[in-house]
Amino acid sequence: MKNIILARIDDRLIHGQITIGWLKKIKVDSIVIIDEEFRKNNFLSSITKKAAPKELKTKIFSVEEFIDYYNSDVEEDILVLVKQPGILVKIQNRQKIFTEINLGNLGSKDDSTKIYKNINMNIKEKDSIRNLIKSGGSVFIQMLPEDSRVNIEKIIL
Amino acid sequence: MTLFKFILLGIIYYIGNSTSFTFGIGYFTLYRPAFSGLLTGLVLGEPEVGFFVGAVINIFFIGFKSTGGSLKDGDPCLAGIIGSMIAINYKIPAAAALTIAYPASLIGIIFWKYRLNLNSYYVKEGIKGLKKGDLNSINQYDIYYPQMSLFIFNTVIGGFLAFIIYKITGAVISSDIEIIKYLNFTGIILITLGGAILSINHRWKYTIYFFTSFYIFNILFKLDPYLIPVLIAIVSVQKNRRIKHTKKEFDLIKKSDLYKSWFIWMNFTHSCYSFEKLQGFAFCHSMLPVFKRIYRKDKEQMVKSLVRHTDYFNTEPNIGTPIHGYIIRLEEEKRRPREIKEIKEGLMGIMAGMGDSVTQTVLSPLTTMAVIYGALTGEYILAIGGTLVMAAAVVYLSLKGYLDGYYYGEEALEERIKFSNNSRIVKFFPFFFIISISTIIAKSQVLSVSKLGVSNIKGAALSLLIFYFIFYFLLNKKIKDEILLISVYLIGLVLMIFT
Repeated sequence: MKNIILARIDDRLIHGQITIGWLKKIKVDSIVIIDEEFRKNNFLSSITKKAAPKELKTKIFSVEEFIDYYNSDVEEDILVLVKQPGILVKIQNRQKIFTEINLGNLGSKDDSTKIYKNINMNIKEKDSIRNLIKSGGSVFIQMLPEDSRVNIEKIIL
Repeated sequence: MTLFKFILLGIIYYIGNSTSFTFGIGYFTLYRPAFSGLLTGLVLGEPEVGFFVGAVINIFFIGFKSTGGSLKDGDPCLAGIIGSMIAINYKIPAAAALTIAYPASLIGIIFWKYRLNLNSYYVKEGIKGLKKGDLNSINQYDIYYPQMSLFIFNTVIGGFLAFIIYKITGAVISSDIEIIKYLNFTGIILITLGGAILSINHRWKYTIYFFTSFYIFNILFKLDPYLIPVLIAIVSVQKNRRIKHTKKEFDLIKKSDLYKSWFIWMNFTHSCYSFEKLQGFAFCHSMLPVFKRIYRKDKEQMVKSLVRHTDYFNTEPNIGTPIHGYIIRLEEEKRRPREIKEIKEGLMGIMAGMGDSVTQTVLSPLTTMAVIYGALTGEYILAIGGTLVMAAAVVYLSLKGYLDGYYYGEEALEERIKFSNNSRIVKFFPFFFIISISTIIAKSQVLSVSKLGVSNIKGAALSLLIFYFIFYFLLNKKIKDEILLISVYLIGLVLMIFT
């Protein structure tokens, strides 16, 4: 079993807010990135592993691989990172793993609107967030550990 | 204080906050209290005092970091201006000035949010203009409008804020001259708290032992001010391995285009920084000379490609520049837009995470501490040295990144990661950080305590360690910084009323 210390939606995955913000406040054994495209791209996945903080293991999984990994015997405290809320929905549909989900950054796209400071979503992403809440996960916005949590339900529902 | 001087202080606030037009160096220098304090001192005719007060306030901001549009600790630049202004005008000690300047600087957080929201509007308009084929719209909306707004806003608001605090402080002090003593005492405790917060945030097995022993040593004996910086310099020096891979020859792109692109990027990364796009619009701007070359005769393609690069983007602006060089290379090779987008978006976070843990976490605190220590001891060569090292690192790393990214592509990025992972100064950083911070705090506390009118200055400065231990213990028990900060102010207030 894995102990999820933080599950975060952030389209920049491991960046400054993670390395010098969150990882200074939380203790984990591994950073787990769930992203199909990233996993397939040899250059990006190898460079991510090399650049991540050295004391941690970095793993890049597909949805299926993550579920297998999550259910494997080894005990680990983990930080889960995904670029899109939809990925977490896919996982929750298979197995209800996430109870708390942190929404970090979602940059603007052509079809997105601004929800909150650094958070921009299109209709599909909003639906995914609603589905995550339905699946029993509470979703909160919190850029850095020092920031207070803002419940997303009040903002998008 | 004349109106003209308040306007000048407002302009300093603009210069520090803008960080544009400075090749990326402004964020690590002019934005910091030691520098804004020095500039304020120059305006008010007492540069040495301004620099000194700014440096003491800067101790409180050594841990200052900003990542992806977050600003929590108050505006360092504003703190330096306010503190230095009241210290010079009312002849109050630096620590007392910190007590007033810190809460005032928190107002800067509101301005920051306002600025990022206003810039969202400019970015939108800029992209609209670009889509219509108007290339000037990039310059207008990335530099001209946001910088003009910031200039007017910061000059007016900064000047006005300085005026209000000038008046309030004057009224408070004239009512009872004894108040200065309490302000000073509160400031001294704030600095000790600052030391404890930095110790906790840079936790390492021996933090508390090294902090304590260096603190005691510095109060009882005189340490050569150049000893620690020289040691750091010796440890940091290392030979860089050269990239052995084959170098790409220039095809369509000319070397001057890389320089032009680098020039735009370094000077305007945060000129129109917005919540929606962060550095996205600046990235597009930096690609202007590139696409002007690649699509010289095809304006439609030029505009289309520029629009592609207005997407959300954010990275560490100095360490992250191999991304730019590499993207330019891929654009020259006319790779598929989808592929370029994936690489760019994949790399920005990686380089930000790694870059921030080098520049903002290691380089900037070390050089800033050299500046602070120089100001406290009057060894200005140390301060100039620290500034030059930071400036040189920013320019060298960013330009080399740009060129290597183009010449060596993926290998340049791997090389940069190796550079950060293997750099010796990063490895030894916790040790040097703790002994430096402890030395600086000891120095500043002796100077501040001497203004309290106690007979045994060394004893009083040593007794502050008790506060350090208490704060360290409480922070270790996960008590929040904010609660301790408010408590320090409350205790100061209670002491003032009841004694």
